[in-house]
Order: sequence, then C-alpha cells, then structure tokens
Amino acid sequence: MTVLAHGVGQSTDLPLPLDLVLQAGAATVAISFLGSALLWRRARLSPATECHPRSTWWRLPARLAVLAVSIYIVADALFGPRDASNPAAHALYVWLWVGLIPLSVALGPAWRAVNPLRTAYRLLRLDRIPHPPTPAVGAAGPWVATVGLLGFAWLELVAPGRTDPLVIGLVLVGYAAVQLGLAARFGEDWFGRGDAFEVYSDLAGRLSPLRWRPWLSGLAVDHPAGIGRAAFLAVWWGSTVFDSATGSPAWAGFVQRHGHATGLGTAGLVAVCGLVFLGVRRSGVANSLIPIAVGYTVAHYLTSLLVEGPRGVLLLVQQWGLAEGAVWTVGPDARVVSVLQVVLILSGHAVGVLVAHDLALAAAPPGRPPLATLADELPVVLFMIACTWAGLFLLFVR
Amino acid sequence: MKRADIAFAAVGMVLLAGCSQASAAHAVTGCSSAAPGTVTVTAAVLDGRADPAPHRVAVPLGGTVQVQISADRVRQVHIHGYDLEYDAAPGTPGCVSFTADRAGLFDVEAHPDTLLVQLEVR
Repeated sequence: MTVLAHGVGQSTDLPLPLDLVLQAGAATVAISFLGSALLWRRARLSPATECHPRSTWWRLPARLAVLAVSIYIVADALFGPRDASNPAAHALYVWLWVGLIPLSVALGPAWRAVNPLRTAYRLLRLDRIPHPPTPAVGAAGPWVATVGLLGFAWLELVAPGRTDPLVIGLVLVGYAAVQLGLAARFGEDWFGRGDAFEVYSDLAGRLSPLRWRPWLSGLAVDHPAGIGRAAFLAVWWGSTVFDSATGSPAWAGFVQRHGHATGLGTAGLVAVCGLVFLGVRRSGVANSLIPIAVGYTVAHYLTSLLVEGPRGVLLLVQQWGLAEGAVWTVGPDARVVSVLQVVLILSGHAVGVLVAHDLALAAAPPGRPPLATLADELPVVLFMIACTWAGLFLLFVR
Repeated sequence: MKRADIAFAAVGMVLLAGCSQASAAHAVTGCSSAAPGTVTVTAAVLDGRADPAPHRVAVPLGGTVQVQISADRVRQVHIHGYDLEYDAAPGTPGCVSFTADRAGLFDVEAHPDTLLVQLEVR
C-alpha cells in the first residue's frame, strides 16, 4: 500500500444539510424582494469612484516576482517530474483560479497589476510594434476572453490529461504565445479585454471595498455591459455549476453506462454554459451576476483553497529538498464549511439583488413608483433566484 | 478600512476555530472477517463500470469501515481523502479496513477514474 498526495480537486465537502438549504432558499426570496423594496429606495451606487493605490513602489518587484514564479512553474511543468509531486496543477487550478478571487475581492483587479504576460510584453519590447488605435480591440476582446475561459474550464474539468504537468506546461506556453501575439497586434490594452484571467480578476475586483467608493459601485459602472461580458459570466458560473453536478454518483454512473467520458463531459460543459448564457441574455442580468458567481465559486472551492493551496506550496518547497516528509493535513471542519458555503452563496445573492435594484432605480425616470421599478427588475431577480437555488441544490445533492 | 480589517480577522478566526488536524489514516489491508460494528462496503468493477452503479454509503464518524472491491482484471483502488491505495485482481478481491476519523465525502475509485462508491462520513 502506498500513500499518495493525489491530484487536485478531490472535494471532501459533505452535502449541505436539508434544513439549512430550505432556510437559505426561503431567505433568498425574502432578501430579494423585502430588502430592495423597503431599505433601498433611491440609487446609491453612482457616481462611482475608482481608488488607485497611493504608493506604486511595490509594483515592479511584485511584477518581476510573479513573472519569475510563473516562468519557474511552467519550466518545472515542462521539464520537471511528471507525477503528483509536481506543483503545476496546484498552481494553475488552485492558486490562480481559486486564489485570485479572494485576492481580487479584497484588493481590486490584482491580476492586472502583476499579470506576467504584461510584464513579458514590456520586457520583450512588444510595445514598439506599431498597432492600430484601441477601438479595433473592442469587439473581439471579450469573445477571446470567453473562449479562453471555456478552454480553461474544459482543461480543468474534462480534459483527460488535466493533471499531467506536461499538458499544463504546454497549454500555458501556448496561451502565453497567443496572448502576446494578440497584444503585439492590438497594444497592451489587449490584456484587459482579451486575457481571460485578467478579465476574471477585474470582474471579481468590482466587489473590492478598497477599490470602489461607495462600496459595490464598481458593479454599476459600464452597465449594460454587452453580450461578450454576458457570455464570460455565463461560462464562469456555468462551469462551476457543471463541476458541482459532475461530482455526483449519478453523473459518474451515466458516463460509465455510455462510455465516451470526454465527449459527454465536453457536451455537458458546453450545454450548461450555453443554457446559462441564454438565461443571462433573456433576463438582461449582467454585472449583478458577478457577486453570485464570486459567492458560488468561493463556496464550491473553499475546501480546495484551504487544503490544496498550502499543499501546492509544500510540493514546491519539497522540490528544493526542504520540509521533506511534511504533509498538510489541516482542513476546515465539515460543519463550518457547510455554514460558510451557505453564507457565501446568500451574501453573493444579496449583493447581486441590491445591485440589480440599484441599476433599475438609476434607469427609472424620476417619480416612477417603487413597485413599478420592482416590476421592471423582476426578470433579473427571478433569474438570480433561479441561479442561487440551483447552486444550493447542487451543494445539497452532491 | 477598519471595518474590512475586522471582517477579515473574524473570517480568519472562524476558519481557525473550525480547523481540525486529521491524523494519518490507520489502515489494514486484507479481507479478514470484519469485526462486529464494521460498515462493510462491497463493489465490483466489471468492464470498466461500477457494479452496482456508483452510489453513496453513509459511515458514522469514528466508525470502522471495510471497503472490499472485486475486479475482472487487475485494478488499482484509491480511497480519496484518506489516500489509501491497494490492488484488486480477478479471484482475489482487494480489501482495506480503516477508522473513518475525518468527516466528509470521499470517492472510492478504480484508477484512473472509475467512480465506484462515495463514502459519506458524518
């Protein structure tokens, strides 16, 4: 018998208890209508002020450090050990994908400040290549970011070699080459529109209390955000929901009966993201889906972040011969996780509903009765309730 | 700023209070007859499929569980979370007994990724 430090994403969360799910489901509806109708009668989120950090001395060292770590991880993935002792999967799926959300929610668009692709772009002097003025970027950027995100979700959740360091290394090199090429064509602003991770961090950063005054006003700027943003959010939330659903024995049995795990997984992922996209388009919800996606993603990956995040650091230092034999076995208590998951999902929902309400109030002509405004936002609120119930249900049956 | 600090500190304390140090799983391989009170979980891998279909088994926290897997060819069985790994072969089912001392939902898989059973320990 051997003891393994096995791949990433072996969730050990218990299903949510039924009573907690039912209470949370009822609370969702109450929050959605009572809070907005009684407490929030005028638009408060405009004008929005984006606060930039006062000091900038930390930027260059931070950029170089992140670039160095990224190059090390990619080189290690390509040329290092091809087994579970390689930290590549932890770095991509836990540190970057999950860790970026709490970081961005706390500090703002963190990845924009330290994006290694931007640093490489500057070091390689790609900005000297002449490029057309920025409007040319506008149309394609969000779609490229959405396709990038869908590709990443497919790699993480469906691809057969998803934890193989060599696969991860090759994908990262390919992604960097494509992004740098597009940025050389369109200028550095490309990364803010077309790099999936920067868009992801930027959207999560709209919730940052340090970045946006008044708090949450970041969600009220650039509204309506356009179809590209809607697609990005649909893939973000949809892929997380897909991950929850496919953890169930029912899905595993379905795949085993029919074979073709990769084909069924691909079809399922695209179908879920497509359905969510249709819902997003029909209801007109956009930025107010951001807090729901953030709340659900953190709830879903909470244990992974707390258990696999430090485990990845341990794998990294063990490659250098440090802390040999050490294992990271500290994990949060299952009941505490359940409660935190419900709190995160409900908080995301509450913030989303308030933002949708605020946007409806801001758009309403002066003197429009509050009930009429509530009726205006009804499709959006109903869609958000559906999303939140779906999230709770999946964490209950999983 | 201040409020944010307090919120972060509160979240940190909740997480710390909720943390538990899991001990390494104490496990015995081999299909000896199980002691009374042991939860016995049996499953088979046939033609790359779980038989019966993948399902969940409730295990009381702190109880002893024996996982017995038979297979139609040599398969490596992996119990996630407890990180136990052992072989099952035709005619000689693989067995492991251990104390379920960590709460959670744990996959029992035939490698690489055939889900057989999920242990729901609570």
